[in-house]
Amino acid sequence: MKVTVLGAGNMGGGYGRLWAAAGHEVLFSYALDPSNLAAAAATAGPRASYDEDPQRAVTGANVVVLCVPWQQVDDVLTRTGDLSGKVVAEAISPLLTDMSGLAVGFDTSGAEQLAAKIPDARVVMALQNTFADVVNAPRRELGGQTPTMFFCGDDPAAKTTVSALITDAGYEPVDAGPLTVARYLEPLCYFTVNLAYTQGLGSHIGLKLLRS
Amino acid sequence: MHIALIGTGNIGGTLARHLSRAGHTLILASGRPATAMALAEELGSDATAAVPAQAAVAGDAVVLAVPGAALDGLLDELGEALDGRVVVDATNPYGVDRGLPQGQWLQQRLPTSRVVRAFNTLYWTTLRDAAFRVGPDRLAMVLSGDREDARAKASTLIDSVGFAAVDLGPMSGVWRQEPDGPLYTVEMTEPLLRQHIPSPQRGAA
Repeated sequence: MKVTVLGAGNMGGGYGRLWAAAGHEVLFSYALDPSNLAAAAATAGPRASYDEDPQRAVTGANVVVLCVPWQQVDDVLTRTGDLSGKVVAEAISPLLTDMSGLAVGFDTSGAEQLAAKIPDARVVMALQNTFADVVNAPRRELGGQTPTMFFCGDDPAAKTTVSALITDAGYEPVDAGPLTVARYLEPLCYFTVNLAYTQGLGSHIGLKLLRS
Repeated sequence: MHIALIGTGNIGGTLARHLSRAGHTLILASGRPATAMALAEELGSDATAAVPAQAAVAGDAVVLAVPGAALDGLLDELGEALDGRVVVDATNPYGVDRGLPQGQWLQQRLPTSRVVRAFNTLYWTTLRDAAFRVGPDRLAMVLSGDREDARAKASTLIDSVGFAAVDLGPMSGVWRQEPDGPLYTVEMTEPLLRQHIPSPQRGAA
């Protein structure tokens, strides 16, 4: 598939590299420093490239992946222009600027607020409950097990597409339901962050769904 | 194969060109006869134009590629002409609520026909541009139908134009490839898509 990754930091760059390795065509765009785009593309290999124009970069994409900080959401959506009909996977934890907690409460979610800004796009919340260190490790397994990645959204076909990207990034996708479930998933992600950094478990941790 | 094709717009016209390139003999029909004639002329000696009633009884299979809103009128016009035939339904029910998935509706509407739902899931520009790929780059194309022989024919057609046929099985699971379904418009290679085929039962994990 043609995947446009907006944001070329540790997350965007890391995921882009995994998807290019899995055979997808990856296009990086949107960075404060354009040389980061070139670096991400170079690291990701021959199937990856970059475009400094985000609006052009999303044209023709099968899926657009947002890997920017929560505070950059309005700006990136302004720069990409019209996302109507596009599958948009958002990997954005709605954190306070100082990362001390979530910026939104339990009767809404970052995912829903973002989706409200692009009502004609097909938004899937995914790729959040993971650490960049794990994304950028040689393999995704932790203790020999594949971590679960929960995702949610309202468009069935968009979820199939994102589920495939999750698989190709090396995680086990689990459909958690409609986009409103992001109200529980975003806190779960921050909970994992808390375990890693406040509780001191470190960033090479993840969650796995068990079932009998 | 000998293929009858009713509908020569974005989907039908694209399919006609691909099927012709793949070496099939075509009988083309359209709501606009001049379009069918011009297309047959363009494609050469292995393509002829006909009226829908003639196309419906011709060939090894008949592909329906008319606009969704035109399907009811076409079926009324054709009457029993589709009885017993392999019918490949590439239309989509835009603006029409049938109360159940179109594949199931059509099979019930044509009880003696062997209906296969195929060629309906990709944007026409993808159908146009991603055909005739070779090897692992082939895009998957899903199909559903109750008759295994009809599904096999549709699979052959899909493979012949350079997509990887993914047989989803009986029509009871066709909801997965209908508009608003989890596989509608999905573009991916076969191995990846096979890992993400939902259960045919709605609501199952």
